Amino acid sequence: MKPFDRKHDGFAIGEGAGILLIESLDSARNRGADIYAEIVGWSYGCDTYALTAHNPDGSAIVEQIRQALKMAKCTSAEIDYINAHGTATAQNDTAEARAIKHIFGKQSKDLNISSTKPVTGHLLGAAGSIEAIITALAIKHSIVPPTINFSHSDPEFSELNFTSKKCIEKKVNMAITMNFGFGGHIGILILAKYA
Amino acid sequence: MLASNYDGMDRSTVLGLIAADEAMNGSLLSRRESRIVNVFVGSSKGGLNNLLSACSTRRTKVPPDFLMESLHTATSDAIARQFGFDGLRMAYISSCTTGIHSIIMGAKYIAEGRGEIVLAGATEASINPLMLAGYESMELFQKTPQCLSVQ
Repeated sequence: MKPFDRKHDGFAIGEGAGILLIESLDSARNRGADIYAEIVGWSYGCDTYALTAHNPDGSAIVEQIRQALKMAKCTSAEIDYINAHGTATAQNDTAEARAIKHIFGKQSKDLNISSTKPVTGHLLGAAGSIEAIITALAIKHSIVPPTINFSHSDPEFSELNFTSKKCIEKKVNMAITMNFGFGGHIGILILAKYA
Repeated sequence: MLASNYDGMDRSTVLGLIAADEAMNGSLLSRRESRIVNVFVGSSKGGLNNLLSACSTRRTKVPPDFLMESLHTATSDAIARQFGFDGLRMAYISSCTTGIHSIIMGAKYIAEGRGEIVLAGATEASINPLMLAGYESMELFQKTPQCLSVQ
């Protein structure tokens, strides 16, 4: 799988499950839980552009990212890392990268973006849950996981920083993980370092 | 958990139970706290392998737990049974956003003050000839075989 690579040509599927224990801050504090990350914002919605593709202009995704940022009361400049859906299909990667470029264009050099699907395979229904775990671990351990097979950048998205090949050490205070589904589903989740 | 305890379960449920076990071990929840855990674990295909294997054998009789083990709710039910949770169980389904939507719905449930703890996520076991044929005909699979090591 080569997500966001100019030569992307589709995904490989995987199997598995990802389950998180989420709880209220009071509950976590009261029992002295080891907090991996705090859920500070989310948004979910749909577009009806096509059965298996979002509008390639990324507009529906842009709207949901905006809503999630609003809920998290943060600006796009505060996001350190995006764990993208990045399925390596033309339909997904174009709409998703356009949406990211639209919102984060000006800060995009400092914003690390990766798709971890080349490592896990596309877990379809379970993709979002393991990627939320990966995002929480990126925050917890200050490590940005890479898009392992990325090597040819697309000229349209040359300013986006698709962290490639190797993971990098970086303090991640706020991160977005996002997923899209056939039928037009969109899910955006913002996690933050618990301080 | 013994392998025999997985008898009759779809592969997606087994994977979900293993993930739930890891989450519970990592959380260090006490038994008393565990009673109020809600389970929001979905699956985009549910117990598809169970259904397909029953179809292929042309059986007219199936085990009594066959139906419940084949539904999309099978994993959240199995997790609750395994750990003795009395909280709400849901199985949200929204194709490839099933996992993230389950987490969002769990967070929303807590934010609304309706619960304190939710085990949230998704499970997926859909590598079988029928599903592969479906994705193949949509021309979504990568065309070049590839195997690169993680660095």
